[in-house]
Amino acid sequence: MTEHQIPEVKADFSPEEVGKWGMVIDQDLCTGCQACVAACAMENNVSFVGEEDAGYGRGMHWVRIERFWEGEYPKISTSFQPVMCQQCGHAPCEPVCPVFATMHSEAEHLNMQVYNRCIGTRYCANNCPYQARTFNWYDYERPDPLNNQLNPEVTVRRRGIMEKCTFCIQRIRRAEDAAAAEGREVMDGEADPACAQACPADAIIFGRLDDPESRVSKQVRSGRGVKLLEELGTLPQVTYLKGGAGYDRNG
Amino acid sequence: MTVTANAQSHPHEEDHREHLMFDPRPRGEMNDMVMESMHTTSWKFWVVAGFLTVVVLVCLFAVWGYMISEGLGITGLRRPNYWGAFIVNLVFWIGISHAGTFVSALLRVFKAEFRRPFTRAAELMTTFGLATAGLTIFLHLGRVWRAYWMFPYPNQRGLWPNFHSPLMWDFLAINTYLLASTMYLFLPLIPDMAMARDRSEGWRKKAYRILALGFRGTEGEWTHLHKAMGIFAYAILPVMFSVHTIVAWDFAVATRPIWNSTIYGPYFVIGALLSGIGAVGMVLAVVRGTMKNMKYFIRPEHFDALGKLLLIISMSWAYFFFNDYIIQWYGGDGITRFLLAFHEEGPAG
Repeated sequence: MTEHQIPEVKADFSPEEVGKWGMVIDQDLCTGCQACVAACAMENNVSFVGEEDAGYGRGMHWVRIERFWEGEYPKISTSFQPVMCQQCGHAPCEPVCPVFATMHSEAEHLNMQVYNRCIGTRYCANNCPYQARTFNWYDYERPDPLNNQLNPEVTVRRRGIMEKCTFCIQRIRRAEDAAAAEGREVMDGEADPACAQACPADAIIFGRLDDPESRVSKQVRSGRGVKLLEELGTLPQVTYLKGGAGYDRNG
Repeated sequence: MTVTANAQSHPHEEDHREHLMFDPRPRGEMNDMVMESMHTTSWKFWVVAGFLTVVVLVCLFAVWGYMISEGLGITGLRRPNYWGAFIVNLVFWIGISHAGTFVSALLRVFKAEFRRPFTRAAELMTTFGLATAGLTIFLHLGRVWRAYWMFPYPNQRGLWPNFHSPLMWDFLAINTYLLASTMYLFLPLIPDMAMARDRSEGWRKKAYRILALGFRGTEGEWTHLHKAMGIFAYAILPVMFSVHTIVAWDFAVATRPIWNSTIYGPYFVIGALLSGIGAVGMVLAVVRGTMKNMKYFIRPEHFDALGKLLLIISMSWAYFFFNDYIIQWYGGDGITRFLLAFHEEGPAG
């Protein structure tokens, strides 16, 4: 006899509370080199849609680099902002899914996307204020050598399914399992997602927000942090740092 | 034995005599006129029906099949517009379906006797419009072969559908309305089925006998039927309003700028009535122009009445259309204002 359980749609969050895993992106350090985009695509089996579809607006990268020009021509500066799923504590994408394909994980305070449940209504992507979700418009091909680098730990998605950044949950799980096997807590930096690992400028920092001594917690407290579209009340887990000079990188 | 459906002495005959306002013919003669149009068709009907059948089959199997096997990319949608023609179609057809029941139920509630010749066409339009709208939900899905996961049924995954989702409300509302409007269509149809049963032969007689549910036209049967139709006419009006406001909530509860507007509920209802009443007029024009003897039943006076209704509704719609802009513009949100200007001026603005 199966007991039907309705998963919680919203985590019980108050604005003071923070989720377990969080990310900090330092826009002063980001050079817009796209290494995170490439690393993420390789780690998470993101489809290569080809030049034509990417130009049409169907690129499936889970991270995108937003580019901002500041100032007028002679005195112009650029800043870059890698935007991925913000893993909102109060996510607009979650309640609108009719089949619980997008839902909240109470354990990690992350947004989950259950590919096998998705029926492709695309409401979540419409409702995401960060436009962080990508949809499989076709079954995209992987030409010969590329199929050999698929990550066996991540589901390969087919057409008609929504997907998005997972904070590399397979890496979080692996780190948690390793720590549990050794009877310790997960160490800072042990569960880095592909983007943080690949970032040559060390602009992406990932870690536990419930540990006040982790690098990510210290950076969140640094006072330079902003959250994207904070006024919508989505409680994002990604903090963007901007506008400081002469500060200590490690707290 | 079964002459009762057109018995002359029946009290409800008053209604039947009154509904042909201008030159009522004897009831038997009218029945014969209706039956004649049901029994005789010209080759033109088969040409049109054949053509439409081919169109539907090609669209349903060849085009939809291609889309299912290739993926939704062939719709031309892209980020950030994940919804396109199919959702537009869904809203449009639900709108069309609304006016049929609205006109019919409203006139029944107010006992407007002139309604009788055309309520049937309006109710049929409701049912078929809703069926079309229901179909577009399936066309819209990325993995339509998993569409049954929207149904609340006990399954091995241990999951109910998400009742927080506006799409789920939509799905339930459309199903409710489809059931209710089908019953609302069928109830007044029963005596006519009985009439057709008494006047046909062969397999038609068998089919009509099943559909007539053994209606013989006794006093008690008429009383029950009228009571049931009265209840349905009153009950279906709020259902109708709820369905279209729920469709509007799909947009109104979203976080997207421009969608996120409280005016959408009434605006959608009025828009539905506007397009739907227009569609009732078109259906009536086609029925009147192509079917035998229908010129006698459907009069210019009916089009006149529909036209007046259309005029009122179109003025209300224009008012809501204006409201849709003014409220959002007045709100002053930067992105919303940008989008409103973009709607007006396009990329050149």
